[in-house]
Amino acid sequence: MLLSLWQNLRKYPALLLLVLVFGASCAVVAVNAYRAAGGAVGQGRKKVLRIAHWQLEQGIRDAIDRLIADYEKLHPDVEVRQILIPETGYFQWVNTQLIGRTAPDMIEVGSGGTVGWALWPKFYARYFLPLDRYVDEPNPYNRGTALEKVPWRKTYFDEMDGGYEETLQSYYRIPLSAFTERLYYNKDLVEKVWGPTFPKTYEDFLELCRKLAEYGRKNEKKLVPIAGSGYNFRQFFNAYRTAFTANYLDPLDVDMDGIVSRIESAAPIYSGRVKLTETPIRANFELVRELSEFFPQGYTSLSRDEAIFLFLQGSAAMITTGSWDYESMGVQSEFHLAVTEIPLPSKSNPRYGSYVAGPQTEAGIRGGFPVGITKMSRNAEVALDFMQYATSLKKNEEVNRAMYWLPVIKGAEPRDELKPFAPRTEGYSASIEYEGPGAEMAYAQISIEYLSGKLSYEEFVDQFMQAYRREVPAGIQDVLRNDEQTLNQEMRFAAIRRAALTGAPGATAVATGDSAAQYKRIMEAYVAQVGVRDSDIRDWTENARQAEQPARQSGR
Amino acid sequence: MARQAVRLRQIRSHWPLYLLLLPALGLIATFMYVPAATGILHSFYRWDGDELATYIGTDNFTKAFTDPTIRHAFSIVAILFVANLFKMIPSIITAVVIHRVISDRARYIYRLLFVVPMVIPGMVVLLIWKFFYNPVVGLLNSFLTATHLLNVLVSVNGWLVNVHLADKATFMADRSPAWLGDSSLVIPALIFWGFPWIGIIGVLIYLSGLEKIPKSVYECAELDGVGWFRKFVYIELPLIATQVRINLVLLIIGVLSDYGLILVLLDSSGGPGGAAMVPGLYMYYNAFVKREAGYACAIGILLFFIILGLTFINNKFVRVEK
Amino acid sequence: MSTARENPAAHWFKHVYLWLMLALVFLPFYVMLVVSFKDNKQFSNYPWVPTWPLHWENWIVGWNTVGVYIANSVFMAVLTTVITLSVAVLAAYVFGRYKVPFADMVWAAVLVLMLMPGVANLIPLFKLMKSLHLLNSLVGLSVVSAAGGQIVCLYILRNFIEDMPKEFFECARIDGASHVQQIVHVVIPQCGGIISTLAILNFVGAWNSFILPLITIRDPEKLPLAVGLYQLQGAYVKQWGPLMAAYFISAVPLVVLFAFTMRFFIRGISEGAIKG
Repeated sequence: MLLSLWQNLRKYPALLLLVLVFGASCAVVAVNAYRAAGGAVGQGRKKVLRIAHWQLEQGIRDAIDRLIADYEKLHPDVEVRQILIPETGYFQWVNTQLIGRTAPDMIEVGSGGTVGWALWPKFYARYFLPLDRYVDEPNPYNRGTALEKVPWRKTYFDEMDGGYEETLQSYYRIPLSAFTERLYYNKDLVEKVWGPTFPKTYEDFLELCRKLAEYGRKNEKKLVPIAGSGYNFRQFFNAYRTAFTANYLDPLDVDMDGIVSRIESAAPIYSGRVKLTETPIRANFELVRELSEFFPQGYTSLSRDEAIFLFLQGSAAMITTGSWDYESMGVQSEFHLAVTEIPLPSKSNPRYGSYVAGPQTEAGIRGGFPVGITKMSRNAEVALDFMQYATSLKKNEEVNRAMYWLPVIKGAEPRDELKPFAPRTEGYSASIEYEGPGAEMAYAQISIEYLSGKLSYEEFVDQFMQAYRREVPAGIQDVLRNDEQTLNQEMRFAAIRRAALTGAPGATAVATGDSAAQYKRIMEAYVAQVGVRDSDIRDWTENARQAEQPARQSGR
Repeated sequence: MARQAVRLRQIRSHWPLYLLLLPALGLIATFMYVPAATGILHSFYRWDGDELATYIGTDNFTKAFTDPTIRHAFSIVAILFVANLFKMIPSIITAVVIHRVISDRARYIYRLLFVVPMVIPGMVVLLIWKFFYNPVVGLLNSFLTATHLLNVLVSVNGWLVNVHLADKATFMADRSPAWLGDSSLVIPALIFWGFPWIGIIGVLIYLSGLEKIPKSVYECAELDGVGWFRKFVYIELPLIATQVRINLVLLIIGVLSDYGLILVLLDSSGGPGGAAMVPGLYMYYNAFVKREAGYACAIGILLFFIILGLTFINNKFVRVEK
Repeated sequence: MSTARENPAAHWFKHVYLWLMLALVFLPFYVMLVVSFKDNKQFSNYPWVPTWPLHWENWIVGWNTVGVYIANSVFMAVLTTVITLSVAVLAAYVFGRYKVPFADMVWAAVLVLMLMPGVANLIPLFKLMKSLHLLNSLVGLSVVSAAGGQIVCLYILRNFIEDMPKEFFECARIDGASHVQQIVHVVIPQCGGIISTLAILNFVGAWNSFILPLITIRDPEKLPLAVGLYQLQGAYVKQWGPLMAAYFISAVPLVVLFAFTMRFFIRGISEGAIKG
C-alpha cells in the first residue's frame, strides 16, 4: 500500500514537495519539543529551567548565556534557557503565562506602566515565591570570599531593598544589576566644536548646543545637538527638578521623615500654598523647554530606539540615558563615547541662580533587573540556586562586567568605563511631585503639550490645575486608604510578635524564621523612620532582639 | 438535488452517519459553543481571568454602556468602516480595468502579476507599513520631505488653524510627523495604510464575476454607442454587486472584530492616548492587561450582538437588482 | 469584447494605470529586497537605493532567526488544514446528502457561528485550553484553529455536495460502497477543485494566525511565523538589514505554494464566486 501511495504521490510533484517539507517541519518541531522537555542526546533527562526578561540590549543575552554555561558545568543535570520578550508586549505576555500556568520559572518583574504598578503586588502574592526564608541565610556560592558568613540580603549594596515589596512586607525579587543615568556625548564631535572639557554649567551647555547646531548648518549635515525623545528628555527634567525643588524640603516635610510624600506634595499644590507658577517650579519646566529647541523635531513622540539611533549615526551629539545602554552604544558607535553629568545652572545665573541646590543624590538607589521565582515552577529550588549563583560576589561581578552593567553585590567592581556611573552618594532629593495622586494622566498629556511648544506656561498651569482640582481629592483618599491598610498590617504583625514574646494568652504565632525576620525588619524600618530620638522605642527594639536569641538557638 | 430524508426511526440503521458528524460537531461544540456559553456566564462576574470570580450581576454591562472608552472605540470603528468602504473602490476599478484589457495574454499576465503580492504574509505587510510610518527612518517621511509635500501640509495646517477650523498645528515646519506616535495622526495613518488598497482576493473575485458577462452584451452596447463609463455603471457594476455585498458583510464583521492591525502597528492600549482603541482591542486590553476578564467577556458579547444586528440589517435592506 | 476601433487613449490609459498600480503594490517587495542587503550605515545614508557592497550575511542571520518559525508554521498550517478539511468533508457529506432529524436546527446553529467574531470567545477559549492542557502546544493550537476554520468549509462544501447529481452516489451505493468509500471515491474527486481552494485558503489563514498563538505559546522555539516576526521587530536596536531579509524569507513558502496551486486557486474562486 505504501508503494501505491508513493506512486500516486510521484504524479503530483507539488504534493510530494509538500509532504517532504511537512516531514521536515515535523522533525524540527519534534526535536524542539523533546529538547524543551529536557531530553538530550546521549544524556539523561535534564531539568529545564526558563528565565524570561525584556533586556534585549546588546550583549546581555550573551553574558547571561555565559553565566548559564558556567552554571551548567557545575550542575550537568540542569539546563537553563532564556526567553526574551520585547518590552511593549512583556506585561501581557507575563499575564497570559501566569493565568495559563505555563509561566517560566524565573521572570523579570516590574514592567507594565501604571496598570502594572498596581497589579504586580497582587501577582507577587498569588504567583511568586516569598524569599524571606532564604534571604537571612548566607549565599552558599559566596564560600571562600569575604562574604561567606554574611546573610544573602546583606551582601547587596542596598541590602536587597530592591527586592523587598513593601505592600506585602516580604522579599519577592532578586535584583541582579544596578543602574544610574548620565549624559553621554560624542567626544569627537564635542571636542571639534567646543574643546576638550565638557561644559560644567547650564549656560555653557546651551552655548555648546548652539555651536553644535551652527556646525550642523554650516556643514549641511543633519545634526541635532541633543537626541531627546519622549523617554530621553526626562533625565534633564528630573535633574532640574531636583536642583530647583530640593529647597522645598523644609517647608513641605510636615512629618519630618526626610522625604516629601505624595500627600505632602499634593496638599500645598491643591490648596495653592505652592503655586506652579513660582519661579523654581517654572524654572524646571522652562529650562527643559528652552533646551528642547535643540531636540529633534516632534521629540515627544519619538521613541527611545529612535533617539539612540540618531545618536549612534552621529546625527545627534548627546543623549541622556542610563548605564544600561553603555555597551550597545559603545559597540555600535564609530566615535569615542564619553560620559558626564547633566550640567545645572550655575549660582551666578541671574534668573535661576538663587534657586539651584545641586545634583540628585543616588545614595538610595536600589538594585534593578529584578527577577522573581514563580510558585508554580516545578524546579523552584533549582531556580533559587541559580539565582544565588548569579548574585554571588564572583559571578555577579563577572556577569555585570560582561553586560557592561553595574553589579549589586558589595565589593564587586564594575568595568572601568562604567566608573562615571558609580552612584553619587552626595546630593539632594527632589521635593515636589507634580503629578499628584490621581492626576497622573492629565499631567502626562498636558505637560507634553507645553513641552512640545503647543501651550504657553500659563495655559499649561491653568489647564493642569483644573484637572488637578478635579482628580486629586479622590487620589488622596486612595493613598490614605492604602497607607491605612499598610499601617494596620504592620501593627498586626507587631502585636502578634509582642504576644509571642511576652507569652500572652491566646498567642498563636510561633517564632518561626519568617515572622521573626519580618518583625525585625518592621521595627527597624519604623525606628529608622521616626528616628532614634524616642528612647522607649529603642529599648523596646533592643529587648525584642535579645528575646529572640533564645528562640533562635532553640532551633526553628 | 433533494437530500435523502432519514426518519427518526431509521436512525439506528444510519448510525454511521452520526459517526461522520461527530468530529465536526464535537470540535464546534467544544471549541466554539462551550467558550461562548462560559463567556456569557463569566460576563456576570468580576473575574480576573484566573480563579477569582465574584458575582456582580449586570454590573459589567452597565459599566460598558457608560464607559467613555467604549463609545470612543465604536466611533473609531465607524470611521474605519467608512474609510474601508472607500478602500473597496480601487479593487473594483482595477478589476474592471484588467477586464477591459483587450489582449487575452496581457490580461493573464496582469492577473498573475497582481496575485504575487498576495503571498506576503499579513504580518509582514503590517510590519513593513510600521516601518514606512517610522518617523526617523520611514519611507513616508523621506518621501514627504523629498517632494516638499511636507511643507504643503504644514502650510495647509497653518491656514486651517488661522481660520479656526483646526485647533492645533499637527504638522510643524521641519518636524517629522510621528504617524504612529501622535494622537492626531494615528487615525489618518490607520486609514492610509495599505495604499493603494488593492485587495488581491477582491480583485480576483470581481474579475471572475466580470468574466461571466457574455460578449453579446458588450456588442449590443457598442452598437448603441454606449460610452465606457455607462458600460461600467449599467453592465459591470450590477453583475459584481453580489460579490460586493458579500465583501460588505465580511467588511462589517472584520472592522468590528479585528484588532490585530492596531495591536501590531501601535500597542495594546490603543496607541498614544488611546486614540485608536477599538472594541476588540479594548476587550484584549481588559482581559490580558488590566485583568478584568469578566468585563472583557461582556464587551465581547455586546460586540457579537452588534455584528449580528448589522449583518441582519445588511441582508434585509441592501438589495441587489439582477 | 474587442472591437476593431479601439480608442488609443483608452488603451494607453488602461496600461498606464495598471503598471502604476503594480508599481505601488510591489513597493514593499522592492523595499524589502533593497534594504536587506544593507548594513545600518548604508541604510542610514542611502535608504532606498541599492548600495554596494551587498551584505549577503544579512540573509544568513535572517534565516537563522526565522527558520524555526517557518518550520513551526508549516507544521501547524498543514496540520490545521488536514484536520479542518477531513472533518468538514465528512460532515458536509452528511448535511448535504441526508436530511437527518434535527439537521436543520443544528445547521442553523452552525451558521450563527459564522458570524461570531473570534473576539467574543477569546478569554473563555483560553481558559478552556488551559483546562485541557492545550496551552503552549502547536498541536493544541492546530486543533482549536481547525474548530473555527471548518465552519466556512462546511458551508461551502455542503452547498457543493447538495448540488451534485444523485446518480453519482446511487451508482456507488449500488456497487456496495459504504459511506466512507462514497466520500473517498465520489465526493473528493468531484469536488477536488473547491477542496483545493479551501485547503489553500485554510493554509494561508493558519499561516497568518496571530492572536491565539500570541497568548498561548510560551517557548520562543515554538512560535509560529506571525508571532515570531512580531517579537523580532520589538528588538531594541534594530538591524534593518537582517530584519528585512527575515521578512522576505517569510514570504517565500507562500510563493512556492501559490506557484504550484495558482490554477486551482483561480478556478476555485470563480466556482466559489458563482455559488456565493
